[in-house]
Amino acid sequence: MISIYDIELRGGYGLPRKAFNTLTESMFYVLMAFRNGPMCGIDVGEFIERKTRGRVKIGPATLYTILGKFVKVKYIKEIAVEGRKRTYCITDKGISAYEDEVSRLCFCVQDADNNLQRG
Amino acid sequence: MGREINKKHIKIIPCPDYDIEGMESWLSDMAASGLMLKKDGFFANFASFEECTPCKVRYRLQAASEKKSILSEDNREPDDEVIEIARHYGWEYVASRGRFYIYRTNDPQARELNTDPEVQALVIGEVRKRERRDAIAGFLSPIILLLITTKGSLMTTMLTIGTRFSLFGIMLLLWRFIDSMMSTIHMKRLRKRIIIYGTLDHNKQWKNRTRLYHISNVLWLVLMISWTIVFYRVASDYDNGIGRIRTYSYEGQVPFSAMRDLLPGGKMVGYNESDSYVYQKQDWLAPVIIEWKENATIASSDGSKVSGIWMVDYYETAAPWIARQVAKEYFIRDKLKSYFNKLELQLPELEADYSVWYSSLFPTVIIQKDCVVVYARFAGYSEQRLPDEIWISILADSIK
Repeated sequence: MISIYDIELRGGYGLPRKAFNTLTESMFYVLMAFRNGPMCGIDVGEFIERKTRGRVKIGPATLYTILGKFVKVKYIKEIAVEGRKRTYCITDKGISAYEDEVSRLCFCVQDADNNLQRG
Repeated sequence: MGREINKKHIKIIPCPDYDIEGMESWLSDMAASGLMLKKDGFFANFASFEECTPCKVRYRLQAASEKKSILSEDNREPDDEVIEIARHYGWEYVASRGRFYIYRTNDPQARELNTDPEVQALVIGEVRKRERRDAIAGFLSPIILLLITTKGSLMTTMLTIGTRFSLFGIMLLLWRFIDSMMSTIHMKRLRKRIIIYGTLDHNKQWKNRTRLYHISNVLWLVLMISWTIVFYRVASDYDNGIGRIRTYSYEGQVPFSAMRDLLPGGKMVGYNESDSYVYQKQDWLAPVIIEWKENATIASSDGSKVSGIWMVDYYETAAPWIARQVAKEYFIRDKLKSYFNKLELQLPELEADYSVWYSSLFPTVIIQKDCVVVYARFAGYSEQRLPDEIWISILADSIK
C-alpha cells in the first residue's frame, strides 16, 4: 500500500504519475468487493465494512470517486441501471490489477514475517 | 435538519469557491448561528439561507465531475447514484458552487464524506488541472479570437479603439487569469495538506481574508462595468460617425494630399457630402491619427475632371517601429483578401522606409517613413482616369 513516506520519497507530495500503480487501501477493498460478483455502490461500502469488521469505513465521496476512476481505467464496468442504482462488475483488467496487488501485499507480509523471525 | 422557521436571509459569500476549508467553515458557522443554506441556495456571489434552530452541521465540498463538453459548465448536479450513496451514509446534497458540490449532515455519527486522503488529493489535483487549463484557455481564447477577427492587426486595432482602453481590457483579462492561477496555487496547497495531514481544516478562520475578497470582487465588478460602458460608447460613437467632420466644412490642413492636390491646379467641383468626412484622434502610441474620405469630382487647370473616392488613413506614431508595424498589418490584412492583386507600376523611387502598392478592390498604397504611415486608396469612377503612378507619387511627395 502506498504511504505518505513513499510519496515523499518519490520527490514531492504528488501522487504517482501513473494512476493506480499501487492501490490505496480503499481502492484495494473496492476491487476485492467486486471480486465477489456484481454490486452497486452501497453494496460495496457494506461489503468493505463487513469484511474489515468495521476497521475500514469508506466515505461516500471516496467510494463514488473510486467507482468513477475504476470505470474510467476499465477496472470495472457498468452492467445495469435501476433507478438511482448502478450495478458494476469487475473486468479482466480489474482482476489482474487486484491479483497484482494481492501478490505484492503477500510479498510484503512474507518479508515482514522473515524479518520478525530473524529478530 | 432543525428547520422550523422559514424566514429567508441573503448573505454575501465571504470566500471563493476553491477555498474549500473557508466555505465549509463558513456554512457550518452559519448553521451554528441558526441559518441553514437553502437547497440550490447560491446565485452569483450570494447565498440564500433560511432560519433554523442553531445546530451543529458539517458541510463538505466535493469536486464536481468533469464537464461534458468544452462549452458547458462543470456538471451542475451530481449523478443520482452519487446523491443516493451520500444519502445512504447520512449526507444530503445541497447545492453546487463553481467546481464543487456541497453536502451536509447533522448526524455526528455519519462517517466523513472523504475517508481516503489520497483519493481526495487525486480529485483536487484534477480540479486544479481543469482550473489551470480553463485559465489558460480563458486568457488565450480572446487573444486568438482577436487575432483571427482582425487578421493579425493587433496594433492597428489597438490604435483604432484606443491604447488606454485596450490596456484596460488586457489588464482585466490578466486579472482574471491571475485570479484563476491563484486558485490553482491554492488547490495545490490544499492537495499537499491533505497528503501530509490526511484531512483539511474544517474549522478555518474564514473571516481573515473576507474583506480582501469583497474588495477584490467589488473592484472587479466596477472595472468590468466601466470597461463595458466605455466599449459600448467607443463602438457606438464610431458606428454613428460621432467625431467625424464633413470634409467640405473642415478648415484644418491635413499633412498629406487632399483629393484636389492629385491634379495640377486642381479644385473641387463636386462633393458627395454625406460620403466625405475627416475623423481625427489622438492616442498614446499615435499622437496623430486621421481618417480621411472624399467622394468628389476635381477639375484640373486645363478643365479635365476626375471623379472618385479618396480614402487615406494617416498615422504619426510615437516610434518608427509602431509605424512599420501598422504598415505591415494593413498590408497583411489586404493580402489575405481574395481580391488582392499585385499592381505592376513604373514608379520613381519613393523616399520611404517602407512602401508597397497593390490592388485590393481599389488601387492601394502604403507608405511608411519614420513615424509616419499612410494607407491610401483611390477609387476613380469617371471616364477620365487618374493614373495610379501619378496619385501615388503626389501622395509620397506630400508626406516627405
